Amino acid sequence: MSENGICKITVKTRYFGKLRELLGTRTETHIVEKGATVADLLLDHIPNKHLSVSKIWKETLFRTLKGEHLQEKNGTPVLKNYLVIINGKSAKLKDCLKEGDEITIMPPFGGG
Amino acid sequence: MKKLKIGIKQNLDSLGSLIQELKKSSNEIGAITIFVGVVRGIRENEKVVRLEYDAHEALASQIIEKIINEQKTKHGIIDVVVEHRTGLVMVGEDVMYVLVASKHRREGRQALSEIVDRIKFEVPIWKKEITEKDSYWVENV
Repeated sequence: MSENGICKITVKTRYFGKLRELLGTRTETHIVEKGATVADLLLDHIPNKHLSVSKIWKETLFRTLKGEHLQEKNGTPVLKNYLVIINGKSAKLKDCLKEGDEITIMPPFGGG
Repeated sequence: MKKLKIGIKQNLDSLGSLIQELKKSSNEIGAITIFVGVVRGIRENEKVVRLEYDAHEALASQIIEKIINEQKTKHGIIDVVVEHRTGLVMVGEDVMYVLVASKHRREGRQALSEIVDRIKFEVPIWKKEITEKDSYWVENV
């Protein structure tokens, strides 16, 4: 897909537990720039689609210190103990998204 | 390899029927060891009203199957049944069954304990506790 000369791709996100409750949806689609990463999705696209809870979303997923996001040496934000799965396989924040990817964001487990 | 029975669903099968089914899977079975998870009515002095479970059912089944196969190799158990509820579960109701069939009780008990522990920490199931005063998602960390 192309919009203003920028190549776009469509990905699907799935939420469970407290994230499903926070966003009020189980699944949704996002149109992102080709080359966008998991970090871009979690820090920009998802919170921008849910502006009323964007602050809570970021504080829920990422480690902060005095209101600022902690970052790795390479500038990548630090995810709390949440898991990101792309098409059934474990993913990292720096991983690039591809057309049709299904990204599942999972809070810490609580079964039993 | 014996047939595994894994269910992540709204209602559990009857414990009696699961025992009967397990017994049929092999004539080598000498013990069936069972864990029944029940919704507790009190948590830290607060009265619990109900629990709400959410699960990634496909992935949960896949991970439970992996756990069971590892336990079969480790303890030499014969067969396992795991069922876990989703949705709303009231206080006093059963929420999870784990049944381990083995030749002898010792390996069955060890495997059962490890399977239950691993389900809590490795399987994508989430639990919201609704008490009289509050509600919150429980994290097994």
